Amino acid sequence: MDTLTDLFLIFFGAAIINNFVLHSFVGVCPFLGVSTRTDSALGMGMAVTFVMGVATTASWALTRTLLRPGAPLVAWGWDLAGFEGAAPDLSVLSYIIYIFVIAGSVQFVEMYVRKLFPALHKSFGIFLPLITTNCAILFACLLVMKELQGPGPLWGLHHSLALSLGGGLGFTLAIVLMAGLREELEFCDVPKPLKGTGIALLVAGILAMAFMGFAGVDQGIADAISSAGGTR
Amino acid sequence: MHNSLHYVSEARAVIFLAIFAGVALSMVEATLGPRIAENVRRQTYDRIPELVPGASSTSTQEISLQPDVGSVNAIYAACDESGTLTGWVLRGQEQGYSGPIVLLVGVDPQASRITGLFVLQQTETPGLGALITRDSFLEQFSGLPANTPIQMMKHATQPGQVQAVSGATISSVAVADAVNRTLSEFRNLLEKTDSRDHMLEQLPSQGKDV
Amino acid sequence: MSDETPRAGTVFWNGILPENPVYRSLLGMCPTLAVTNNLNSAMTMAAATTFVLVASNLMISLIRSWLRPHLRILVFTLTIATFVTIVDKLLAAYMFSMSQQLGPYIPLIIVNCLIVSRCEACASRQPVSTALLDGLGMGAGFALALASIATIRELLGSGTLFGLAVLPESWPGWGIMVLPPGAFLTLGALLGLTNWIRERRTAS
Repeated sequence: MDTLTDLFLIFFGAAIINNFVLHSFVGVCPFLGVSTRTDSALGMGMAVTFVMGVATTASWALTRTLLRPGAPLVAWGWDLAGFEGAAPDLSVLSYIIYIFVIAGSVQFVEMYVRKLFPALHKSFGIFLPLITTNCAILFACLLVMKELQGPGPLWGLHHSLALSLGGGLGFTLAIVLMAGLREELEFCDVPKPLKGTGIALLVAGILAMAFMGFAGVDQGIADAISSAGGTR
Repeated sequence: MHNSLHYVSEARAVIFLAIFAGVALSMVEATLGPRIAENVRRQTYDRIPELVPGASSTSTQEISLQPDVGSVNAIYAACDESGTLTGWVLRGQEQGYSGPIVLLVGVDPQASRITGLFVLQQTETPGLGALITRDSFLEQFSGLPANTPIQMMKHATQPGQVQAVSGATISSVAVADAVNRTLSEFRNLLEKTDSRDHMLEQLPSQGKDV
Repeated sequence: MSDETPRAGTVFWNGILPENPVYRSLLGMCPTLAVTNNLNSAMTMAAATTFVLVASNLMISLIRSWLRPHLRILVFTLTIATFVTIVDKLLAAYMFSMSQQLGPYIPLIIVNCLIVSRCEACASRQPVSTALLDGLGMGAGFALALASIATIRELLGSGTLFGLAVLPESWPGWGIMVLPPGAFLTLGALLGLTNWIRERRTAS
C-alpha cells in the first residue's frame, strides 16, 4: 500500500501540485509558443509526454547502473580490470549523458511513432524536433537523478515513470488550458504593448494562482488511500 | 581507409571536445569533489552540537541502518570528545505543503526526551510555511518527551502541545508528524535487542550505557 | 548577420539593450522566472549563465574552422554541457547553500536557448575577440533583465533587497510576488512596459 501511495504522491505532485510549467517554470518556451490553438497544444503536450517517458527511463537506467556513487556496473568493471581501491564516481558526467539521452530519445520516439502510429505522427510529429531543447525533459531527468544520487531509498523504474507521466500530463493540461484561454483572448481588446506574449504571461500568472489551490490535496488523498488500504 | 580517415577528420571538433570534456571534468571532480562532499557532510554534522548538548561533531558517527526502517533516513550516534554517547540524532522526512520536509531530531541516549530539532530541507511557502525554520517554532520541541506523540495545536495550552506557525498549519503538522514517526520507529529499534545491539556495536568502545 | 567583423562597442552594447535576450528575443525564460524571487539567486544565476556563455563562445570561436553543418548542434551541446557541469561543481564547492537554493536550475542552463543561439549566430562565425564581447554583452543584458524582475519581486514580496531590509517592518509583504504566479505577472507587466516604451520612442 505504501508503494501505491508513494507512486500516487509522485504522479499527482508532478502533474498538479508542482506542475512543471506553472510551478517549476520548465517548458515555458513551448508553453508560450505553441499554446495559441488547442489542437496544436494537445499535440505538443503528447509529444512532450512521450519523449519524457522514454528519456527518463533511459536516464534512470543509466544513472542507476553507472552514474552514481557506488554504481554497480562501474564497480564490476573496475574489479574486472583489476584496479585497486574504490571505483570512481562517474556522476560528474551526468549532465552530458542526459542531454544526449534526450536528443536520442527524440530521434527514437520520432522514428517509432512515424512507423507504428502514423496517425499520431500526423498530429504531433512536427513538434518532436523542438523538444530537444525543452527544459521540461531535462528537469524530469534531474529530478530522477536527485533521488538516485542523494541519500534515502533509491527510486525504482515505477517511481520515475510515475514522475514522467505526471509531469508530461500536467504539462499537457497546462498548455491545453492556456490554448483555450488564448483562443478566447483573440476576441478581446488587449492593449497593444501586451499583445502576444505579455498577456499570455499575465494569464499564466492567474492560472498558476489557480493551481496553487491544489496544495495539500495530494496529502489528503494519500491519507485516504492508506487508511482505506491499511497501515501508514 | 581513406573514407574512415575522412570521417575522423570531419569529426575533429567532436573528438577534440570529448577529450577536453574528459580531462576538464576529471580535473574538476578530483579538485572539487572532496570539497563538495565535505559541504554535504557539514550540513548535518555542524548541527550536532546544537541538537545534542555536549556532543562534538568530530566524534559523532553515522550508524548504518538495517534495511527497511521506514521513515528514519539516517541515525547518528552523537558522542562527546571522550567518545561517550551523549545522544542520538535522527534524520526523518515527511511530505509538507509543497514538497518533502527533511529534519534532524536530537534525543538523549535513552530516547526519552527530545534535545533539539533542525529543519535540513524544505520547499514550503516563503513567509508562511517556511517559518517552520525559525528558532521560535523549533525551540518548543526541546525537552518534550519522546515517548508520546506531539500534538500540533493552533493554540497550545498544555505541556506536550506545540504552537503551530500561524497560517501554516499543513507545514507545522508535517513537522510534528515527521518527529512523531521518526521517534516511534527509533524507539522500536532501541527496544528490540538485535537491532539495538547492531547499533551499539558500531559505537566507539567506551560509554555505551543505554 | 553579416560576416564582416562589427565594432567592439556595438557588439557589447547589442546584448544589453537593442537585442536584450529576455525582453526582445524572449530567450531563457525558465531561469528568468524561477530564480528571480530574490536578488542574490538572480545575480548568481546571471553570473553562472554569463560564465557558460563566455566560455562556450570562446571555445566555439576557437574551433569554428572545424565545425561541420550536420555536427554543429552536437558540438554546441557538448561544449555547453561541459561548462555547465564545471560551473555547477564550482557553486557546490564554494557557495553550497546558494547551490542548494538554485537547485536544478543551474544544470538547466544547458538548455537555455540563449547560449545555443549565440553560439550559432555569433561564435561559429566570428573571431575570438568578437565572440568574447558578444558573450559578455549578452550576459550583461541577461543580468540586467533578471535584476529588473528580481528587484520588483523581492522588494514587493519581502521588503528586502539582497536580503537586507529596505522597506519598513510595516510593509505587509506581497507573498504572491515571491511565489510562482508573481513571476509570470511581473514578467508580463515588465514586457508590456518595455514594449510600450519602445512604441513611444519609435513613434516620436
